[in-house]
Amino acid sequence: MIKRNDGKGINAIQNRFTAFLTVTVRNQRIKYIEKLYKNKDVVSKTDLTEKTVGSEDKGIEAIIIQDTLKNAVKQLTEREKKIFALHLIEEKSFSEIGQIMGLTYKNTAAIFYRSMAKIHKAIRSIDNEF
Amino acid sequence: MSFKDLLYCAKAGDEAAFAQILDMYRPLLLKESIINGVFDEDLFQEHCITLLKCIRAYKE
Repeated sequence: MIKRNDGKGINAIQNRFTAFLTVTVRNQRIKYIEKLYKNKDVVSKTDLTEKTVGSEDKGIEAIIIQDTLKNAVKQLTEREKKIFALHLIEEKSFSEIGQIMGLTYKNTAAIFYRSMAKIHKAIRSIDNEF
Repeated sequence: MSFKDLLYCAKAGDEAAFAQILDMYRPLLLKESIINGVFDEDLFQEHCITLLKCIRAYKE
């Protein structure tokens, strides 16, 4: 049985080592999770493009809307795209996404609705052209 | 054997000392290997390597 650490004298070295190890391990974990979700993100992005390219026989209007949507999605930042894909395609809640990306619920929701507004704006600008 | 001696032995390449330190820190590494409530073996492996690196890199 290991004696309880009182953090004094000879135990100070153990405390310092534990602190050092904890920080390193946490950083490693964050890196690992980021790597994991980068791979997943590529998959959801290809899903997105396939869905927009897939249907061709719906008339010119549908094609125009699809192109607008595609361009609008392209204009979003990487982070916005990621949240968009996670929320709409993988149907994760904002708090789950927040956990994955290291954001709060509020931040995630704000980013999502901001990107939604951007896309709405893009579609409306097309409507005005006709 | 105090932790200090153990650490220096492990640093010098003593496998038994490293195993003892790994036993000591296993709960911490296990805790940090859980992603979304699921234990990730690969991540645990990474953490074991990290521990080895930390032992080598640690300076007073």
